[in-house]
Amino acid sequence: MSAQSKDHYYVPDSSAYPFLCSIALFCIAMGAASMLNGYSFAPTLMSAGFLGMAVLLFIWFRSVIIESPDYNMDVDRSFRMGMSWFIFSEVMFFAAFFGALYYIRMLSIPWLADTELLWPGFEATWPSTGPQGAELLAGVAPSANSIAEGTEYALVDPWHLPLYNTLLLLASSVTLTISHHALRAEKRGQTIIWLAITVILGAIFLFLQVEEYIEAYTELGLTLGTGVYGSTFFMLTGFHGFHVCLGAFILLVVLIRYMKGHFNAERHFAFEAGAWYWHFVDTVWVGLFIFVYIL
Amino acid sequence: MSHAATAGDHGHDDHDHKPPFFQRWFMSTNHKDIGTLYLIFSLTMLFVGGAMALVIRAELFQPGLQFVDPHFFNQMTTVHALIMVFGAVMPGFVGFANWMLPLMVGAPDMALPRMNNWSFWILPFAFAILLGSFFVPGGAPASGWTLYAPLTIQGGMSVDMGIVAIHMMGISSIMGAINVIVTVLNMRAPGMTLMKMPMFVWTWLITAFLLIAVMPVFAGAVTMLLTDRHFGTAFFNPAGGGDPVLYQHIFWFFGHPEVYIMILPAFGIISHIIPTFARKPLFGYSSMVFATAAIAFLSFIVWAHHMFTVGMPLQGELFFMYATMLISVPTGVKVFNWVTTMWRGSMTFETPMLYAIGVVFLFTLGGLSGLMLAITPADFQYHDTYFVVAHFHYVLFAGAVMAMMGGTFFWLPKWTGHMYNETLGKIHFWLTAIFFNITFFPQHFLGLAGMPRRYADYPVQFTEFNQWSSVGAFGLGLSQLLFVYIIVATVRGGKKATAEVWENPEGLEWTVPSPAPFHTFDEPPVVK
Amino acid sequence: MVLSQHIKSLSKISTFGAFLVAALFSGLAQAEYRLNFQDPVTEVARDIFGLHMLIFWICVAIFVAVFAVMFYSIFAHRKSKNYEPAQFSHSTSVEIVWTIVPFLILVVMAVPATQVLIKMEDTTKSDLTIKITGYQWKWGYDYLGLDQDISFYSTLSTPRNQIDQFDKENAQPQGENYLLETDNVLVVPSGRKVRALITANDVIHAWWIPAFGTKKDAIPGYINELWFNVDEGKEGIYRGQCAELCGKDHAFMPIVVKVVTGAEFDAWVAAGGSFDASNIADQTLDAPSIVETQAVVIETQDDAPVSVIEAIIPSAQAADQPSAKTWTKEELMTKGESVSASCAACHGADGSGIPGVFPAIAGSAVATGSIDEHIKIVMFGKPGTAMAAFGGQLSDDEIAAVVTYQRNSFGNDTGDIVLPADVQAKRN
Ligand code: HEA
Ligand code: HEA
Ligand code: HEC
Ligand code: CUA
Ligand SMILES: [Cu+2]
Repeated sequence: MSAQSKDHYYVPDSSAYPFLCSIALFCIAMGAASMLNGYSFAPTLMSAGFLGMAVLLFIWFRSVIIESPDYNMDVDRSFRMGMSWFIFSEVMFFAAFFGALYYIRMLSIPWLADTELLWPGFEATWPSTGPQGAELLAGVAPSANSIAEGTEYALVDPWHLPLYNTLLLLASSVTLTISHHALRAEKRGQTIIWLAITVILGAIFLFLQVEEYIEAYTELGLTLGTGVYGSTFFMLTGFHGFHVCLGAFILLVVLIRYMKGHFNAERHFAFEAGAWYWHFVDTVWVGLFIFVYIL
Repeated sequence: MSHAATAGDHGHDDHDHKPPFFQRWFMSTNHKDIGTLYLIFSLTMLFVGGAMALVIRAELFQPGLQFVDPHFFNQMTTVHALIMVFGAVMPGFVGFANWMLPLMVGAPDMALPRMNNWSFWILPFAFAILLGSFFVPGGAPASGWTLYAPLTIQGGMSVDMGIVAIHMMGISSIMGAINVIVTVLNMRAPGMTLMKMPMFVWTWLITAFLLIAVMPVFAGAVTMLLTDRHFGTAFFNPAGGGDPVLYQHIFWFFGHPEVYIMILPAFGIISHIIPTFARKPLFGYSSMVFATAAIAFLSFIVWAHHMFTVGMPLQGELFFMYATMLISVPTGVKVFNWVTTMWRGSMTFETPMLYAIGVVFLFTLGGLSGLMLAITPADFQYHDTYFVVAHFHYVLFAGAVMAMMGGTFFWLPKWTGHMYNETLGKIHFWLTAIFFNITFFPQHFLGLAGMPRRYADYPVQFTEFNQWSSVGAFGLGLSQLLFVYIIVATVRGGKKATAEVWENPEGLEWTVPSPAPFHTFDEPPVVK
Repeated sequence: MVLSQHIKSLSKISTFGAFLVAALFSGLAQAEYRLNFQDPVTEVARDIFGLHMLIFWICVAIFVAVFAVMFYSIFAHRKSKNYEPAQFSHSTSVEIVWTIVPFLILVVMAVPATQVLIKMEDTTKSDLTIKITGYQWKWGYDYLGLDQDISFYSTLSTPRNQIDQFDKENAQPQGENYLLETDNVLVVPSGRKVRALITANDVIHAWWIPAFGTKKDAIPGYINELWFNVDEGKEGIYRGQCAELCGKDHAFMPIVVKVVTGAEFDAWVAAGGSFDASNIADQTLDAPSIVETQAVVIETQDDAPVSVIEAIIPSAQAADQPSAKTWTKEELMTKGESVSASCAACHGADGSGIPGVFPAIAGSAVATGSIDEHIKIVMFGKPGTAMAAFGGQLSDDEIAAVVTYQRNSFGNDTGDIVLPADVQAKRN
């Protein structure tokens, strides 16, 4: 084929990474399924999968970085589009959980409260652990596997840790933008400092989130098993926290790459992709803060 | 390594230089090879899923339990559907997309070739897990392909395997869809504006959008199942304040667009075949595009028509009934456009055309029974009976699968460089069409007379039609062996195909030689 | 099922082709079949039937119109007739027409559909309310608001050897109401609006009587409503089936409703047991009548003759007063064996269960370990699994018997005897 220059779309040669990554994914998935069912080999299988995946992705991305000087603007645009659509898919993933929250609060809890025949005395309130919370606590009903801890729980005060977290994330979006502007203006020092601050803010956020979880579990009695309130609370904030981890990690890698001189004022797709992702994670948090904590 | 680095070693114009076996098939970044892999995978899964359908039909041949116990029967139903939907139809269309999109838009390859290969390779592993679940205690998932809670909460390890397999298929589909969108939006040849794109490209673009929008939702639904099963959450547990019906809402928010994911690319294929053999341009191109978009849009707001009997409030039922009925309008536009394309054409009836006509005819039949299902009060009678089973096999087998068969005959010469055997192709069409109808037409009557679906055993008055259906299914299954034979024979030899293959077909794919060289459109063609 | 069984099943299927065709044609003669809905016996069902036929004929008309055009074109505009292709490719006016006209057709369908739907959803002003509960795999019925409690369960009564055709030796030919017959039947009056409150205990089921035009999902934790009002003069037996996949025996939990006149119904209720069952036995339909019902239940109840009403409200009341009877182990074992028929659906007649789904009773840690635990799991079930709480369904006698039976069968020989009093001690 004709020599690949910048006026051609870059088509990579055959590569073993996808196949190997699929094997790693298989190990992760199979490991997870077996672990949930108590097979002793499962943790090993799953760790092997994760390790393999991490190593492979590292090598894979590394080779992309090495090739990247051969990419023309079309390839760059493909990457951008790809990243945007990936973020869109993440939005829809969160939408499923927000939808569940909405449905439970607005529909199923009131319906349960209306069902006198089955759940006498149950009132529609939010937060709620559902109609069996009280009986379970009193030990009348046999313990359901779904409700571990009963109903005595307190709420997380939105104006305490969550508020700090909101401010932290909002601030981190600003610092990230400053860093981006600095990058475009080729102000190296500022770019690094502001990007580093962003990552640190993200890390503090995660730290506080862990604090909050510990407090919820140990002091407030609020757990994943505290009825449907605990379920929605922990699943939404948990998946969000996981995405913060990912986002912070991406930004950290971007920071290191920047320090190694990988980007310039015109070409820094990885920086932008990381930034988009970070802003997305941020926006989700604002949704969480409003719908999970405040309302 | 890049082509740039290896260009010197390989020589310049060696368009057909192919890497050695392992490298070629396991490490490919070539859209044609990956397309071939997808198509082979899809065909294999059609047989695996079909074999399970034959177990179902064998058991239902007579009342009473003759061959399998009800628990295993439910596993067959469930895995049959999961395999057909996620293993045969969806990957099949991705295979077509891989092969044809770059050729149709004049691109050198898919936009993200390595990711393309990853999308594919996840699938065999995902299905290994799904099929592996037959061998764990309790057997495979047995709760229907919809995996409704709380039945799935009861299942054994196989449910967890099903869930992780679905996660993998989801990852694969999302990556595949991103690739399609980026290829279509970013890699079109100069001059090919959006409204000049071939219909298949349009339908896939919209399908890809649907995929990215709903696969994550499905992933979310099964994730909640998983945590309800193992981590004490109460999303679907009323005692804890959840609702089993919530699962259904989330599932069908995915599930309904999913059925259009399975039919829109088929519409695309039909829109290529009919103009070719009518020797007349596609009628109403722009209305076709808008109709496709309208179907996609509506598909997001009709999901609860699968749940009319769950006891929704009246307003909800009315809304979902009206919205569902509306889908008939854009779909009708498509059907009318196809018929008008044939009108005053100069038609010949090679195998692909037979398939296209068969698809339009049978899909419409299935679509009209879908419209009947949309009428809520009547759906109270139809719901969860064989009338529904008949409906969706008309749209899925006669719509999606037969469109893929037609597409295969249509483009096989381009892929292999050989003409298939026309007589055998026609025989295959007629066998398939006839046995298909013997299998599924009687199911309408069964459903109306009251036979519920997902039944391992049934009252005696349903015997006769079930026997027709079972005989038809075995005939349908056997006929597919002929399909495989024709393909294999065509790959191995046959009359040489010209670049155009058919008489004056439209589209860039017919400007490259047959078989299409390993690399095409290194220099983008210019479209006027 | 284990792998070897799968393979066995599959190899049996391969012999299937041989007798396929032969059986088909011999089968034709025996089957009596229909092509459309069962005859409606309520106003709503008639409305639905009318609606169904309306939309059906509209669809047929559209289908015929569209494909008449297509086949004409196929016939006339073919190359072999040297037809020259036209080159037109759009026409805005035509496109507008075929967008608007279908839309109008839809409106024509939507109007009656809306009317019927509104009528169906109106459950107010009912004369009788029945709570219907789906279980894996039976139905429970409670009449609400009557002077005396009437509640009972209704289970498939088709003999197992009609169902299992695996080994031809022991198999019996299927009867006329194969899979459509139950031990107890729901009794409702004609000419009155009956409201049903539908729920489930474990997974989702759906309660469906085609002739009434009703189908509603039974969802655990929630209550759905439906109503029907059977025409006077249409008294008789009506049958339906569970219409939502609920696990292994989804196909084996039918619904049988016996419609009687209002007067008969009142007599049945008011007389509180003195009602003469033979009055409402419906011989012409050859269905399980109340008489048969009585017979079935009497078998399992060892007291002297029971009245019909007692026959169909067995356990709940009985549970309150453990019988004064002194039980021997043999008696417990015999009774236990018959009760355990309802456990066999999951745990198997030989106590082997289905690995990974339903635990074996044979050698089970519970069934050979603490008696308390054993009684408890039977009475209270295990929430979140298919193991239901049988405390409400079975009397103390029955629980005692089945626990004794399980502890001394399938190779479990603990020698324990569990008495009704032991069970009663666990209640409340
Ligand atoms: C390829 C897949 C596919 C497609 C394209 C469709 C298309 C449609 N489907 Fe179907 N459907 C399924 C796959 C599909 N379906 C599956 C798999 C299920 C079962 C899932 C499960 O439970 O397991 C299902 C179930 C299903 C139900 C639920 C039934 C139940 O469980 O009770 C309903 C109810 O409304 C429905 C309706 C429709 C409608 C209105 C269309 C419309 O899009 C059809 C539109 C087409 C036409 C109407 C014909 C052409 C039009 C004209 C010729 C114009 C003139 C017409 C008029 C003016 C009327 N479908
Ligand atoms: C694209 C989707 C698709 C396709 C192509 C099919 C194809 C077929 N389906 Fe299926 N089906 C579904 C999707 C599909 N189905 C879905 C979604 C359900 C609902 C499941 C649920 O309720 O959860 C369903 C349910 C379903 C049922 C109802 C089961 C029940 O309710 O219990 C039945 C019963 O007849 C059935 C039959 C068939 C048959 C006979 C075919 C035939 O077309 C298949 C023809 C056969 C072949 C093409 C294979 C050829 C094989 C051989 C010749 C044997 C050689 C063997 C080996 C090589 C091992 N299907
Ligand atoms: C719908 C299915 C179903 C029916 C019917 C059923 N069971 Fe069970 N049973 C189960 C399941 C599932 C479990 C496992 C619960 C768990 O996960 O611990 C179980 C567990 C048990 C156990 C404990 C076994 C062990 O080793 O853990 C006993 C004892 C038992 N059932 C007795 C009965 C009796 C007695 C009956 C009938 C009166 C009965 N079951 C009916 C499904 C059923
Ligand atoms: Cu109960 Cu199906
Ligand atoms: Cu749908």
